[in-house]
Amino acid sequence: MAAIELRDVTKQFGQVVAVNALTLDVLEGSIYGFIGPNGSGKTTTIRMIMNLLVPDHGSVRVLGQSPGSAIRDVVGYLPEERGLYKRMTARQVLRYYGQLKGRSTSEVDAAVAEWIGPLQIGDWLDKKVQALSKGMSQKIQFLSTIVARPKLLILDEPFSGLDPVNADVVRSAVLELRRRGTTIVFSTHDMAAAEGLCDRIFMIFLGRKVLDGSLDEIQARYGQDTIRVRTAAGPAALQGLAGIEAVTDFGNYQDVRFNGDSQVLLGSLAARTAVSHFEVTKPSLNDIFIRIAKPPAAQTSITGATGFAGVGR
Amino acid sequence: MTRSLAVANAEFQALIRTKFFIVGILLVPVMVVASIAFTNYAEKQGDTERHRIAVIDRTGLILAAIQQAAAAPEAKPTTPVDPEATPDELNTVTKPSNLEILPVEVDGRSLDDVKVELSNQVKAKALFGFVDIPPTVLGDEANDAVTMDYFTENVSNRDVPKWLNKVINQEITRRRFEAAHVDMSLTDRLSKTTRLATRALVERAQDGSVQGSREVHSWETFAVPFGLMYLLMLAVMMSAPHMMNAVIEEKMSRISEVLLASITPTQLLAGKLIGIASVSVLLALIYLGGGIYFAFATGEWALVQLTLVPWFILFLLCAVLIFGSVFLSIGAACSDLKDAQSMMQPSMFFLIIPILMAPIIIGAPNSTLSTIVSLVPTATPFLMLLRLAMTPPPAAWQVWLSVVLTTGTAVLFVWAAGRIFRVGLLMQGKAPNLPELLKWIRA
Repeated sequence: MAAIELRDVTKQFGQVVAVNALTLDVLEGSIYGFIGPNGSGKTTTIRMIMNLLVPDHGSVRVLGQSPGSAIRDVVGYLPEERGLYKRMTARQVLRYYGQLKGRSTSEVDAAVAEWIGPLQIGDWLDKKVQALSKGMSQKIQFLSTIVARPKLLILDEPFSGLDPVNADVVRSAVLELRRRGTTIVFSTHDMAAAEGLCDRIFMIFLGRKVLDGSLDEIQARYGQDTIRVRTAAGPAALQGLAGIEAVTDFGNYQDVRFNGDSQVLLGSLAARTAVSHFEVTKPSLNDIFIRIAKPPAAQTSITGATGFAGVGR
Repeated sequence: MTRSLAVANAEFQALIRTKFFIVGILLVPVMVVASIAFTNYAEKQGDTERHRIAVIDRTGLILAAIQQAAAAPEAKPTTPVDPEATPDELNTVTKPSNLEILPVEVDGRSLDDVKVELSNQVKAKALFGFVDIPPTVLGDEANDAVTMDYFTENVSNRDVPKWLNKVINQEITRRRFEAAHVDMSLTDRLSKTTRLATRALVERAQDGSVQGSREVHSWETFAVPFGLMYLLMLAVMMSAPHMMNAVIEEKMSRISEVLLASITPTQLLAGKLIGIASVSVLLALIYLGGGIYFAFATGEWALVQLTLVPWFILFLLCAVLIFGSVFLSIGAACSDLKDAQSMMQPSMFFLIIPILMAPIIIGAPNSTLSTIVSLVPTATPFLMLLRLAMTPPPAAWQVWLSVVLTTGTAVLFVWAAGRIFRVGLLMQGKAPNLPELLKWIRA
């Protein structure tokens, strides 16, 4: 059964179509990743699911019902921009947000007690929010979305601003919630997190759905045309080689989108420079994202006139 | 409803725990008492300057009386100020502090030379001022053409010329009576006025006896109505704008989005309005309790009109719903305090109207104008309460009509605020103008 069903949903702001004829099913118990460039319609989609915005056209059903008061208590929502009352203590905020979901103080306290250890927040519960670090505030905000034990959890950029340790803590908590049967939707710009966590991935671009499926399905659709190479000469060794459609330069290695026989490419490279790594691989989600979202003029590479998309240099 | 009560409780706790509120409760009465005390103190102690006044007494008869009056201790009233006294009578003349009267001998010089010399002394701060009393002031009749002249650099000081005017004219009058061989003490006795006391109506008791009625002092007739009206205003103003700021803060920190993911805009608005009402009622009860205690402690039990308390609470709730809705709508519509302050100004106008109208209503509580303005819903909570606290009270139909109109308006305002809340809380950027707000309400 689908936890979220969107049917032909359209939302327009003035002349801008933020979401265009979107149809989507999020299966119960799954982790669904929403990806897309800034301004592509992710947050608008999430707000329509949360009934914060009403679609101009189409229908939205959440946990089998129209979104509204009935499902608010069983849906947890972490918005992109965090909001906590600075003058309250973390415990007061958690109790208040729990009460707004119809939970008693004791129910909230019990839920908080379960997560004190996993989220490593024990010493901070009775501190005022304004005294908390950004990471700790985000963990409290995350906890506030799950204290009411939601069936569906919607997280908008849950890992943004977290250091690797805290990001790992939240990632573990997300997996634990999935293990308990919670359906989780999260939007992210962290492609590695989406690849690692999500059962299915949905990408929206310019308001339209451009990807929807498991990672394997998506990668299969984009073909095994990516070759990761590390050479002594670096990206310069790739210039002018036939069959290269695009190069993403990561500094120490390059991902090459190649149309042709990989053995020919290996031979050509070896003739030019020392090759220390040559791997035929599936395209990463990051590659696929860039292929879809990068404006055509900025797309690198056409055979014979190779350009380079630098990443993290 | 439970969710709204949770919001109300959070808002109530957040507000009453602020330093602003705690200090505000204590500060308002302290400031009132302190300002009265300071005014009294300043009147007595404020002007400690030495007042050296030179007197050119060209009659040769008045200087001694001035010096005697300056040397005499200031007469203090032996009875309380007559409550029926006219403003002129209340405007008593205060003797300037450190008064020193210096005679001026003309000694064959021209009067102009003397005045120039004295003016130089004033400039040099050796004198505060000087007065020239011409000989013609002692004529048989008052003559408008004759004036005494007072010269000073300190023209803003009114105490010195008022005191000189009083003392010199008393002496001139005394001398005129004396010249006419009239006993001045006799005329004083014969012309003494009789006080007119205002009393409550007389009623006959069941045993046939006539109950003695209590004297009603004029200050009583406006102290309670004004006090209640201002208390109502204070109770609204100490909570509603604070809540508006809280809504803006929630919007700016995106807490609104979290709240609206859990409850509806209507529940959120209802919770906030209940929060404002709770704080306002608490505040009013604290001050009302204090006022009633003060009235009993000072024996002014007649000031306590417990029958007004239900009306006070009813009108307070109406005012909270009307102005609370307005302020919360502004908070929801604006994304920063600057925009909110601009939008607040028109609504403040509706709060100022009752203050401007109150003195008119006190003067004629049942006039047509008083009736009309007290039926304007935004003014009713303040002005109908004012009229209810006065004698005679308004007609019952007026009171009930005002209740219906105000309650209806409060419901309308809450409904409109709910519509604005629904759209405005998630809006960012430029504040809407009035047509846009109306569009939100109609949407």
